[in-house]
Amino acid sequence: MTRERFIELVQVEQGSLRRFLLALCSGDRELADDLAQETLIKAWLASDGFVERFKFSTWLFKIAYNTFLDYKKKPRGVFEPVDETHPSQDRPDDAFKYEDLYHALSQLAEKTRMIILLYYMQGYSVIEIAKITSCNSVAVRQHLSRGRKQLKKLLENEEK
Amino acid sequence: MKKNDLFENRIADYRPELSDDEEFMSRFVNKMDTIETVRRYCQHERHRLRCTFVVAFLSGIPVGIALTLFFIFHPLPLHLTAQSWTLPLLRFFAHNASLLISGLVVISISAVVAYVCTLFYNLFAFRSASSQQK
Repeated sequence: MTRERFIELVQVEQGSLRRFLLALCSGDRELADDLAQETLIKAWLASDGFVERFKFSTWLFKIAYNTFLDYKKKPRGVFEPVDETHPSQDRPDDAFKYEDLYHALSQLAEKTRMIILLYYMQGYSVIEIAKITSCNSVAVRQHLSRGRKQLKKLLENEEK
Repeated sequence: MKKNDLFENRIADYRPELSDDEEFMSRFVNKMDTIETVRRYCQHERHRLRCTFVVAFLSGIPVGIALTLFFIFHPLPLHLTAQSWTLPLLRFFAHNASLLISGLVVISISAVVAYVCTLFYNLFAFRSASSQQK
């Protein structure tokens, strides 16, 4: 894939990728953008292996899924390195609007959270989610069912 | 499946404010440029090392073969050079031909080993640079 074609595809997908990662990271915009950058770099490095007849967004979200899991597994020290070019930003002003949603999502297991977001936010089918998460369809349905029940309970509690 | 209206409504209403798209894309494109610079540098270094190896190989082995053949087919006319200032040098070459050829072969093999080691080092350096980029 040429560089120009890759940038073209990224420009189309970057918004939904960042929204997805923002929901995963409970509204931390800086972290979500860093993970999005890392995902796109990994995608660029692996772009020779991408066959254009497959859906670019599915492939990209698979990389994002693995990048987020790697981030969660990485041991974090007391002091995290500060990126001087992009100083820490406060959460955006509208983060309070979605506080209850972020809180409810953060209570879910990572895989369940991701599957819920891929299904409801990104609109992927069970089969596509199975490809992204390297699970079978049955496992995806179980995560969706479990996640729905938990979220319903958590959001109803928040409403009260 | 039974609809979960509350939850689905919250997700449907989820339209968070993202940071500036242009700034995000510009950061990403800068990182791509850095990766390409590193790739080009590594390719150039591999090419340079390949040429160095070829020169070392081409100079070492044929010179060694040529010297061997020379000493086989051209025995030194020592009696003609009895008074020559080059006699000790020629005697040295005559008596130590096998040593010299062995030396040239060793130099060529060293060039090959040095090339292979440098290749592995560069591969390691490129992988470290790539993982640091990440």
